[in-house]
Order: sequence, then C-alpha cells, then structure tokens
Amino acid sequence: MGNSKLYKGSLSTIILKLLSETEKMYGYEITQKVKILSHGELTITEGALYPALHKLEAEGFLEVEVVKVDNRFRKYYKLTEKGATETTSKLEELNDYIKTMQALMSPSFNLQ
Amino acid sequence: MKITEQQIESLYKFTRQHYVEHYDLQTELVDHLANDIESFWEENPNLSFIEARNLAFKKFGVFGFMDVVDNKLKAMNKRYAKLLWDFGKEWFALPKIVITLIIFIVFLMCFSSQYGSYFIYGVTGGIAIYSLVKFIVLKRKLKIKRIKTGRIWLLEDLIFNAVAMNVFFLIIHIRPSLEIMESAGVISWSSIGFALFFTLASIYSYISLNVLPEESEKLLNQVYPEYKMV
Repeated sequence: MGNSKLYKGSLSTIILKLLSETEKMYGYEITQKVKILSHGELTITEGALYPALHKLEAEGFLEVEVVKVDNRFRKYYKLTEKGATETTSKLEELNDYIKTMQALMSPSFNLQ
Repeated sequence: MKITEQQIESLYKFTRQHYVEHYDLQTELVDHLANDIESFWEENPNLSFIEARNLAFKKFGVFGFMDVVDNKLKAMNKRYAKLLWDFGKEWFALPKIVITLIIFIVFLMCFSSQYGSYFIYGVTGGIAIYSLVKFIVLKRKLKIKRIKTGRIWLLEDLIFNAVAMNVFFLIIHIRPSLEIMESAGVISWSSIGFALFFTLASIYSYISLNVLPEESEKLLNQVYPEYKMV
C-alpha cells in the first residue's frame, strides 16, 4: 500500500484483532502475519510496531509472557480482558469509519 | 541456519551500541533481529551474519532504535505513574487517611504560626536531606546489583531515578516557596495551600523513596516475566 498514513491510525486495531484470533504472538510474528494476510500490500515497520505494542501493554490491553526459544528469550503478547473489550470497540469504530468512507466515495444521491 | 549463542551475545552488544540501555528492551529487539537474520539466511545462506544483521537493522528506519526506545520510556513512565497512584490512593482511604489528616493538621498548625516560613525551610530541607541520603544508599545498592548481574531494567531505573527527581524538585522549589510564604502573611489561604502541598509531597516522597524501592524486586517480577529467568 502506497499511503502508509492510511493504516498508521489503525495499527493498534490491527494488532488487537490479530491477537484476538490467536492465543499469543510476538513482534516479529505480527509483522510477518500482516505481510501474509495482506499479500505483501501492507508492511508494518518495526519502528511503529514496538511503540504500539508497548503503549497497548502500558494501557493494560496486553499482557506479556516470556519463553526461552532456542538460545534467546521471546516476548509474547496476549490480550487481557480489558484488551478484548477494547478490540470489540476498536473494530466497531473501524467498521463505522469504513462505512462512512464508502458512503462518501460512492454516494447514491436521492434528490427527492 | 540458526543463530548461535555467541551471535546472540553480539546482538545484545549491538543494541547497547545503538543506545538501547535497558535489558528488557534489548531482549525483545535481539529476538526480533535474530528472527529476521534467520529469515534472510533462509533466502540467501551465503549472507554473512553482519550483512544480515545490518539488513535487519535497516528496517528500523533512519533513526534506528531511537523511536522504540523513546516510546518505551513513555509507556513505562505511564506504568510508573500508575504504580505511584496505586500506592498513593491507599493514603486517601481508611485506615491511612487518618495519618494523612494528622500530617495535614500538623503542617497547617506549623505553617500558620509566626514561624511559618522557618517551618517551610525545615520541612523542605528535611525531605531534601532525607532524599539525598536515600539516593546515595539506593544508588550504591543498585550499582552493586548491576555489577553483579550486568543488566539494567527500565522500571528499576525509573524507580531509582525518581529519588534523584525528588531531590531536584525540592531544591528548585525551596526558595520560591519561601518567597510566596513571606509575601502572603502568616495566616492565610497560603498556609492551607502549603499544608496541602507538603502533605502530598510527603506522601509522594515516602512512596517514591521507600515503598517503591523496597517493593522493586516484587514489581520487577510482576512486570518482567523474564526477570527471574535470567
């Protein structure tokens, strides 16, 4: 996608949505998953992903679990109960926004 | 091809060279770089470790890890403020609210007396001296721990830096406080204001200088699941 600003505001929603479908995910896995799901159209930059994850964690929407994998530690993120509620509300917000944009982009005028 | 233990150590060193001071963030970035390096090797096994590492690092953009570091600090500051608030609100509920009220009344009586300004100096100086002593003791304790473990945790840094902030805050406020007190007369709204301010300052100082440093091990264990694993 050419305009990265379009998804910048939706990054938190993307993260929350992905985590609502999986038990837990780590940062690198999220970047790869988005790449696969969007068929390479959307690339989450590392410089944007981690700040978003850390913000969501500080707000109590995510909790972490650390597991030793091979010879290193891996930090997994999981949705908290508060995070699950936030996901629902963020998705509703996004759907409303998409509907509004669709209405604006292809208006069906009724002049009666 | 998989990353070796030695290469992991070199990635930790690489993050430190790029201004990632804290072990918690280093660990997350090291895993990220390691995953990316391994993925580069899958596509091109002839890439050297350094070449693959540089390619992985390039993805963080022109500022490297700076954005991640800055935002992590902001996020952790928020968490630290929440910890302060969680411990602080106990002082405004039973049974501790009784102590809060006693402190407030004692300050109010002192600041309303004809020696009000001396009491301001006394209380501010007292907290500042206590903070300085605490700062030296805790800093030494932390230094020994860091030499022993070789690691710095962001939350731990915030907890112990708050001690330094406390001293700084009081030192810059001692003179203006006195000037306001002197110009405001002896018994006035300012006595109530000062009593309230110093009550809150005392509670804040007690929590940031005593409670949080004493609870730091427990808090680090809660915030960092890897804390007891390393």
